[in-house]
Amino acid sequence: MTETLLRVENLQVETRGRRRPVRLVDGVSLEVGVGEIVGLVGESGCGKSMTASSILQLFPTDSVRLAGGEISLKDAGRLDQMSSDQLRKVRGVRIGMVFQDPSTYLDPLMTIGKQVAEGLRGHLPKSQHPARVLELLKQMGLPDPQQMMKRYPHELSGGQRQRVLIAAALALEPDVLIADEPTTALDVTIQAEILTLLKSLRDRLGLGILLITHDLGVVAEMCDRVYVMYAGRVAETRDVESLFAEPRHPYTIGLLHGTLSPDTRPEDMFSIPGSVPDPRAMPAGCRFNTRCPVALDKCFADQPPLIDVTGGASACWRAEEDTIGQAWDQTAKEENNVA
Amino acid sequence: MRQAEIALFIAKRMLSALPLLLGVVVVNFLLIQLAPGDPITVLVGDNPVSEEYLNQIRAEFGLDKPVWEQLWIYVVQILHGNLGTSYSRHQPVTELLLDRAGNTLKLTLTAILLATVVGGLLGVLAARFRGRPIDAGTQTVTLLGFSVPEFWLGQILILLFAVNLQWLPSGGAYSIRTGDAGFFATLNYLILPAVALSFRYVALISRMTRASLLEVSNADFVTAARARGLSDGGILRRHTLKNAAPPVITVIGYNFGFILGGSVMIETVFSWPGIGRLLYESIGSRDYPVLIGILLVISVTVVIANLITDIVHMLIDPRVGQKA
Amino acid sequence: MTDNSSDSTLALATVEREGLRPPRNRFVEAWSGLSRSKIAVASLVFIILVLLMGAFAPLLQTNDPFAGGKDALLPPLSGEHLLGTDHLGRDIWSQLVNGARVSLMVGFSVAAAATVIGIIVGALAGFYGGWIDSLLMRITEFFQTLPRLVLALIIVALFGSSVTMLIGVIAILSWPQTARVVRTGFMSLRSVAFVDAARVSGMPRTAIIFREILPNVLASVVVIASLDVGAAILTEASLSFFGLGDPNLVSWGGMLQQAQQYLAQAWWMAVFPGVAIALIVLAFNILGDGLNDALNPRLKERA
Repeated sequence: MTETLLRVENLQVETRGRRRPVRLVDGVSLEVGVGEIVGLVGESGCGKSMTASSILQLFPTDSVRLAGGEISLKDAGRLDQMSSDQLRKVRGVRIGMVFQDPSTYLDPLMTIGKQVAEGLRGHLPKSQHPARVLELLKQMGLPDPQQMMKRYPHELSGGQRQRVLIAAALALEPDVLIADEPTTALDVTIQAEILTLLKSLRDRLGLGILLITHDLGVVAEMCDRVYVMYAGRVAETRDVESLFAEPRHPYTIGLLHGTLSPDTRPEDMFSIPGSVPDPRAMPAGCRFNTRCPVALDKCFADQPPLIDVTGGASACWRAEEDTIGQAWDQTAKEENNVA
Repeated sequence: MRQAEIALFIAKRMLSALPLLLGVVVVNFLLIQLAPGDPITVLVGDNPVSEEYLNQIRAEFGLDKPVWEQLWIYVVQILHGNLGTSYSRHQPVTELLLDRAGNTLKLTLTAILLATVVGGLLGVLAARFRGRPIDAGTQTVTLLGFSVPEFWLGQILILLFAVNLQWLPSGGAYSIRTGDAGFFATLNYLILPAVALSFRYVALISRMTRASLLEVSNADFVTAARARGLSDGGILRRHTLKNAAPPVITVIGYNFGFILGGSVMIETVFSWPGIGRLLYESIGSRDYPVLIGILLVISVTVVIANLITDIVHMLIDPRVGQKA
Repeated sequence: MTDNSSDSTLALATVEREGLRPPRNRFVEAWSGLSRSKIAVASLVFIILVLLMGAFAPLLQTNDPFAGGKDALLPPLSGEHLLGTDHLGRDIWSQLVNGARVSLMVGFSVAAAATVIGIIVGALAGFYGGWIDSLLMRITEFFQTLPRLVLALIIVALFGSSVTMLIGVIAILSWPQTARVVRTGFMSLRSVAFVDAARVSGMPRTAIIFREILPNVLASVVVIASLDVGAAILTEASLSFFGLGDPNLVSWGGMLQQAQQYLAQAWWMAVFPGVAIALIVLAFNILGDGLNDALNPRLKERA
């Protein structure tokens, strides 16, 4: 493992307001190292975006807050304990962030050039801004950067806008880039371009990238290591080869069976029955218990910790059993026989 | 390239305003035709006038010709600035209107300015201190602004400040003694009517300002700017205010018709010598040419105000006029 | 709203929508939403009270509102004249309760007429689209551009000031808003999304129309209608203030017109009718806002 840049330990995010607080992220830990692309994957509502937002405390709404845990950045200390002024010095400078929908994350009334240069204020003399912006736009593979600087966001395509946002995020050469579903809102062909771009940035600049996504295909293509989240907690964390070759959590296995890939046979496909539990009424024990085909009594009583397995760890009481990979075989047969 | 876009947009908008203007003229014309009595009465009234005068009017407005020709002639006359003659004052309508227009503009523009400042301030405070007393206070003012009849507010202001406290005059635009002696003499007389007229606008503007600011503060691009390390102050200056402005500006512009309507009422309450007061007097004296003339002028003004607002909107917001 | 921008709010909202409460009748939901706002309920009560007051005006009045007499310009609480008398000796209180009739009648009639016209125009425009839509929209835009009050004043001045005329004129200038909303609702009937939804959800198209689209449109129409009543009452008051109200009826606006000359001597002539107008319009505005909050819930942020 390379040197750790960013470490999150036991993160807790909960709602704030008049009602009783609801825990949306409950004890998530992860690490990103120099030059690593780390994936954070899970379905809608699992808390992955909340986790990403909590690092720089850029929650999209006032109704959630950081409730516990430690977030540490190399040579900067504890981000969770910083004042807003201190955090501001980290944002853009040490950690950059890109988001999901490039059409809403750009100010429609400001030119591209100005927006990319925004972060440079106070760090680079104004006279040098245009040159730097040009350099960045070129780096991102944008055509005709000179003209592009004077354009407005609505004149650009989705892919171009996302490149602009990445440029803006990397303007001050941060060590870490948090990318929250950067390709979800884009066409499939453009997705590939952006992902390639991210990879090349990692290669060239030694960026550590935390890539949030719901798409296992993206994980397979991009990531070195991955954290699978479920219902506010980490279900499994492995290096990518191990995860796909030999997943060791019934949820992960279920997810993989739901994804069509060259290796999947149609008769092996199914979707996980049931639905994610209500965050206000989380079950005792393992959160996946009611949907799990191989749950034990223990799973309804005690929440499993992350248990070490090859290439990572899995939060399942049965993680070390080698037959865990067949957890869904019965279900798959049933579903596909009925069909 | 942007200049060409702007020019094209302006041309297109002006072109599409023409049917509206035409519609206004047609409505006016219809009113003349449909009004009780024949068009002669509308244009001349039932004062006894000489036969030659009647013939002159007939010729001017082509009243013995078929309707379509009359309409055409009417349009031509309007373009020449001929709106008929007020029979109760024996003056050309156009002259009358021009006389008074200045005063109405003084009143309306002052009211708009006042409303923008006060309304904008209230909206900003309400957004900034959302959920706290001042927010509730502003929302109350807003509700009242939409519920209280402006002319009655004018009367109350007179009761309070002119009758009771005797701080300000209760009517007119200048005292008989000093005459129309310029801006500062009028100021005294301008305050109460302008305040009364602005009340509704304050409500509109403060509500829109608050809503717009709140929406923009929660916008995604604000989050992105924060992610780049911008301070709250910087975000306010560089993003929030600029993005919050367009809806407020359009609200001000598109509601100009309401302010004109309000000024009619206010001028009557305060005996302010503007077009609104003229309207009141002309209704009383059944001076139809003046009424129709006023309708035309005010309608055209509103169409033009909308046009200007469209253009200003386009200048501030580069997305306007673009295909999605 | 982007998927990730409100993970938690989305999660909570989904949970609320999906599982924890049985689906209820839209209108029951609306009522419960409305009743949560005390001030909206208070407004509704107030409106009903004023309605009753107008309905029973002949019983509530203390004097004939048209009968003048020798007791001119008496201040409030002078003997039997609760709110004083005007310059002709007519009782203010009696005028007030009778004036409620005109205001409410005009208000409701205008709202009803404007709503009907608006629905027809909007439905035609939205449903047929094409040139019908363009034409109707141009007309709607035109009517919205006309200066409402000035036009109403002049038309009534020209053509006479019976109550019917008043209602007609104000209604003609009020329908554009309703038309817009109805049009949007009907436009969705032609949209691809609608057809897709029908296919995917398995619901027959008529079901979608009646269970989804129509209630939404109706909700907006009701809100606009409520606000229309308030606006119409204000317009009628303005017209009456100008002396263009129906001379056979007592109206609050008319009372204000007569108060104008006597402001210095008889403040009560102006204050009471004005307060009445302000309160009733306020009530309709609050009701409209309350209905809006109850019938069109949005994913509001929980403060």
